[in-house]
Amino acid sequence: MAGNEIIKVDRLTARIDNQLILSDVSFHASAGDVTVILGSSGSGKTTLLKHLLGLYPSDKNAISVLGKNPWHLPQNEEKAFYSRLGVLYQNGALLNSLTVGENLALPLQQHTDIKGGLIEKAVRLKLQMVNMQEAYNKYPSQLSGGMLKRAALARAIIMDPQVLFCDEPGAGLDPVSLSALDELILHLQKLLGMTVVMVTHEVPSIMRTADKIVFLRNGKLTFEGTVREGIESGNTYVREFFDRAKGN
Amino acid sequence: MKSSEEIKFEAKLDAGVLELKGRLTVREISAALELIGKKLAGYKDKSINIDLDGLDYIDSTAVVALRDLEDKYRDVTPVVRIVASDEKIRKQFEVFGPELDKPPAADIEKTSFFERLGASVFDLFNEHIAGYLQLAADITYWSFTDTFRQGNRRKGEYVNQAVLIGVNAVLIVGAMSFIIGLVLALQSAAQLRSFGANIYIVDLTVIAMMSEMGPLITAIMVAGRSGSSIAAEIATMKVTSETDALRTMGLNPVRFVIVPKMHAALTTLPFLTIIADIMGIAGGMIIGATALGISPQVFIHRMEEAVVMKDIVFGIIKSLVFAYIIVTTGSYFGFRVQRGAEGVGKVTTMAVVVAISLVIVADSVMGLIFYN
Ligand SMILES: Nc1ncnc2c1ncn2[C@@H]1O[C@H](COP(=O)(O)OP(=O)(O)O)[C@@H](O)[C@H]1O
Ligand SMILES: [Mg+2]
Repeated sequence: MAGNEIIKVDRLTARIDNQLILSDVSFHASAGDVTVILGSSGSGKTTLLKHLLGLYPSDKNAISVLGKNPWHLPQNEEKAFYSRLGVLYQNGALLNSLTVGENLALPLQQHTDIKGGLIEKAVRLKLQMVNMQEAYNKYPSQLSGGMLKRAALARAIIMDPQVLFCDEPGAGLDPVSLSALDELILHLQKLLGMTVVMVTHEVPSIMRTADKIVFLRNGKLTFEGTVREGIESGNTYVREFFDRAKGN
Repeated sequence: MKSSEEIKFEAKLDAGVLELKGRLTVREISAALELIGKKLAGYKDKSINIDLDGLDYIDSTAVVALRDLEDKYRDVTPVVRIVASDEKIRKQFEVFGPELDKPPAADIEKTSFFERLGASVFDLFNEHIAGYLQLAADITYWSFTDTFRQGNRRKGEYVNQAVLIGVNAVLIVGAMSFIIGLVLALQSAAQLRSFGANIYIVDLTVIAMMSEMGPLITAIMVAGRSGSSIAAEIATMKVTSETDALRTMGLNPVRFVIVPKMHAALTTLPFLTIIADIMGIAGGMIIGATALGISPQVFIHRMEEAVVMKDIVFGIIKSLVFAYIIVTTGSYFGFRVQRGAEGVGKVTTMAVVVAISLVIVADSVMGLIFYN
């Protein structure tokens, strides 16, 4: 899939409070693929994701998402750019002051000029896609962990984004809910033709979904390739990661 | 058998600190220990810090050796402490035992009081004032812009916030002002009576409430109620990534969350202040009638003479400035939240303390400006 590099990271180095968090990270993600960023906790996965989303500053040439570095976007391009991305945050990050329905409606109200009745239909359709119709009038605090993730996923895909970012969608879920969520993400990916960038360290999840893995260790990239290549490679960290999971 | 050119290691003794420089690995360690031993033997003070920050590299054997050295010198003179602030070196040490001490912060004898004062003012500026001004400018810009741009508003949020910040504060602001008016008049009553100047209770209460106490009481109550809740709301949103989510939906958290609050505070605080004025004056009126024999009719008649437009306008201007301070301070501390459970509570407290302090400072500054 060369040439379809929807995301390119080129020698990204990042510091927070003068502490080196990411060091010289380079990789790319191809259109239509599920690219999994993995590594143990604290290895910098979330920080990397936030850089891809333009939430942290980066050098202009270090990051390209859909051809742009989101940190350096002119203000009048922000809306158009972000409407092409969907993000599923680690804890959902639905706005607590709004109902699920209002949460999903928000991007539609902000990015489009479609009106009330149609907005509600679009929102209900997305809730139906994640099997959460009944949550329309509920507040996020009234949902369980798995429901929250699905509602947040519905919000992430509300604009039919080109790229879906997920930060540890499995965190806090039981294995059954997790595999259901994976299925859902894959299903939606096919349905909407999305490119997916997913942070996770759930091995079953990786096995199920990944077209490509990007392995971080202490803020450095140690491996980039398919799961099979990873397991067969001489990279001890990657091998150890999968072996240990098998042992459990 | 050591030859000195092989040793890429140095030890320099200076003011109670033995600084190690260069590489310290299994190859250098025995020569290094010998050198350190010599330096320590000639040392007279009770304790000495061995500072590792100058090291380029340290390996596991050297770590073990230095730990061992520290142990040996634990109960003899000089007592040896090994310190490092360099993150890489600290990490190395933690693998093989407890965490290292950090070297003592700035050397107190070496810097003068004024140097330190200067440095801390500089830090304060770096840490807070620059960030605050930046955010305040952002909030000001968007508050202006969104006043005139209908389309980008968050429906119903202004009314929502006006109720939270303004309407819900009416009772407490009114009650407090009434009590203050009452007490203020009561305290003055005895003095005024002894001069036979009873009627001046009117001037005193009216001027004090309108130009000073009304705006101040209102601002302090609102800072306590809404300054804290603004900080808590934003901090919580930040901790739960809601602000990130807003950004990646192409929404500006300042416009989405703070601007409606700013609009609400700017429009409701003047009214709250007027309510405070009225309630405080009512308190004065009651004392006038009961303790000084000034009937409400006389009080009101005198009030018409005592009230100057300038005082009223001044009070309103103050309340606008206070509203601005409360919202920007609450927002600033909200955004400064650190990760972790205690973060939200901490910034909330800070927001209230700083907002009230700034309100009082601004009050006196404006007092100086207006009445000069
Ligand atoms: N806002 C922050 N302030 C300070 N340190 C941070 C911050 N965010 C992340 N870090 C540090 O960066 C490292 C990587 O964090 P993160 O990207 O969250 O890891 P992961 O998602 O892989 O678990 C950790 O050591 C973490 O402590
Ligand atoms: Mg993470």
